[in-house]
Amino acid sequence: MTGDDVVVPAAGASSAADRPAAGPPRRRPRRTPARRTEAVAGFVFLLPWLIGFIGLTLFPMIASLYLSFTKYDLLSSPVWIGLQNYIDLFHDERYLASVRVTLFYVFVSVPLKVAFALLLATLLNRGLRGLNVYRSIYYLPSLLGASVAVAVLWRQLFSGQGLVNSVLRLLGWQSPPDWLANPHTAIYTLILLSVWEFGSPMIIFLAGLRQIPAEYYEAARVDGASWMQQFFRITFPLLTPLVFFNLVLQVIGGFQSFTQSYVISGGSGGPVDSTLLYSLYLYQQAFGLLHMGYGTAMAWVLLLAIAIFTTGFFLTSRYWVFYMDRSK
Amino acid sequence: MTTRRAFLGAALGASAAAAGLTACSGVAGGGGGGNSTGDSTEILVNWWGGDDRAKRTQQVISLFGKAHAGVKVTASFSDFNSYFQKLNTQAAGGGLPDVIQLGGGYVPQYMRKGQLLELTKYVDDKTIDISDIDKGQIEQGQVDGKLYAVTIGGNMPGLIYNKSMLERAGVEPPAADITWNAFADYLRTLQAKLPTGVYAVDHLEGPLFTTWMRQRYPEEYTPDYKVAYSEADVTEYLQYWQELRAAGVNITGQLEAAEIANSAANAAPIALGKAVFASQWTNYLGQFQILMKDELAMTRLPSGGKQAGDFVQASQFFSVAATSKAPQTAAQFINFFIHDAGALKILGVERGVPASAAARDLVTPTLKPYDQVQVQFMSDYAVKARPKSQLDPDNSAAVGDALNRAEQSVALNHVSPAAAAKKFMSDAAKALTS
Repeated sequence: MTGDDVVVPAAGASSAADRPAAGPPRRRPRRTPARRTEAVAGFVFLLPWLIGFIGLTLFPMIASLYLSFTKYDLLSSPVWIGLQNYIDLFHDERYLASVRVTLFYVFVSVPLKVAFALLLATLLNRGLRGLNVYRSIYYLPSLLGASVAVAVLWRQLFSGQGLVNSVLRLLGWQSPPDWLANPHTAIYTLILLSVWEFGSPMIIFLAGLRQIPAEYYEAARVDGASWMQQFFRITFPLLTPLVFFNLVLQVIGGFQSFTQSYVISGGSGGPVDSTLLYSLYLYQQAFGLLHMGYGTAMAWVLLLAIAIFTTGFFLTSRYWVFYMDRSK
Repeated sequence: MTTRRAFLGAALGASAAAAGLTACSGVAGGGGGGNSTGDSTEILVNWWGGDDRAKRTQQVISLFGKAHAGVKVTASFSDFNSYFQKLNTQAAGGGLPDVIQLGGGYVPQYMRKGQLLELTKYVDDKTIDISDIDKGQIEQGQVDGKLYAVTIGGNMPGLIYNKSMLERAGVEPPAADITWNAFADYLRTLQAKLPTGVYAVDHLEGPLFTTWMRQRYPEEYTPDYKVAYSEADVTEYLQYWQELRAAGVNITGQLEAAEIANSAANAAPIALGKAVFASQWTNYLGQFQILMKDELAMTRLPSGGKQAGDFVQASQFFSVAATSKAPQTAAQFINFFIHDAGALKILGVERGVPASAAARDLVTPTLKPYDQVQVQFMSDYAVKARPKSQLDPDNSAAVGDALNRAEQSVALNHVSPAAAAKKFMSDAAKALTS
């Protein structure tokens, strides 16, 4: 059963034999009253979450689905307009621009971030002295990453007179661009910020690396395998479930990025819509222009897109994700 | 097998988290803050603006607290870019602050959509005294003769310039009745005498575009709320500024983009010493001056078209939320803000010049020289300006955003002024119909 399993999938190396605790549920015969008490207790423990789920997730989702078929400005009652919002979306040039910006952002930043996380996890997994300190330091950006403060800092760093340009001038580049005010470079500052928040995939990779049995490497070394060969023949294949997991999570997160582009562009998505991420345009429509119906329609299209991408990942996974327990 | 299943569960969980976004935009959430207490002598005052404004407003609030024992005033403020998005959210949740600063293109839609308390009752019983307030600015806070918003200061479009820099370049300020064409020549001459990295002009769209179009048309918008100007007019406008930019006279597109993104006085090229002239609202003079050593001055925007295009506007209003539980206290606060001698002296002309003659007379002698320049400018040119004859349409702020995008696409993406104008016209039409 899924319920009693860990959320993070174990790396391939953790075969069922390694984890006796995660066996099939025990089916000891029980007397009915005891089971009922247990069930009630279960529900009581579940209640806080259940109330939150129904009140804060399920009901708002149903309401937003309804609103996406209406013209609604928050201040007066919604008016049913059928599919009009969804039709309008695909005739809205700014919407299409925001889709392009977001796809570019996700498909450049996510692979870079996951690759960088994997690289650092591999480097950190070598029994260095003070490893925990390094780990904490590298994880720090992820804790701070989504915050407004870091985005403000980023704006300072990359502005025309910012630290980055000061350094570039010292290195001899006389007139570096104003990274944030140039529509050709602004999105890369957001991508860099996203890649910098590599901490959580790194932690997951580190956990996975710990579970790869040392004998594999010993055997490989005896056979004369180089470091590169060990990485591509042992480490990477055994980590593919985690690569897969991180990719899926990061793509889902990437599509929803908001804070960074909001703060860095001052809420405009500028210059010339070059950092107009999907969620930011959604916010502008919904809360800036009070096109709530339109905004909710955008949110549902986003949900659908994320579902499609996630499904796509799952369908391709059988060709490149290696599960140790299945291969037996 | 278990591994895959667990993974599926985790991924589904993540998708559900994605759905959280949908939820967020769907329901009119709590919208933070708000006047949730039942106490009718506790009010929340909300405004946008910089540090200087915050300091002055806080002082007035504590002064009001001293004059009205038992009243508690809480303050909340943010920068302009995020202010209205936050306010919209609060409106949706029924949690608007008691006293709300309004302005820009947002006033008409707030007045029309029933979010604001009609203030006639408080005017009639003299809680709010508007007898000495300039009539033109009172009308800007009215819909169908009902008062919803009280002006707390007036401003005008104008041309702020760095007087010290002109002196260093050995160039006289332009004549007050200079035409747009002559002004372009003037700027080119000036540019030749400026140090590198300094541009002759920064043209910020807001007050400038409106004035430019009102010189050619009765109003920026027709009475049935379409844009009054044609695509050719917009092309001409974009062309004018792009030619100056190509000649290195107008600030670069990147400087302009940085200014718009930051929406703070300290990001303005003129305040940074990178531009000599800047089209702006009069009340920015002081906001820029406190950041600079060079001395600023102000003149009227160049003339063109058929008539005067500039106008006196209530730069900011105070309104009371329709949902306020302390409307009487809120009304008292507004009256205090525009009439109390102590309050007026603290506020100065930071939000604009007071809208009553008595208040102007009281405040002017206490002002710093640069603030007196602003008052002088208003008294010189308000009579020559042409008052607006109608309120702006809902969503006129979105037209302003579209203009910024058009301008930047010309400046940064090499789009031709004609193509940018075409796109702008369709964006503007869309903004006004929705």
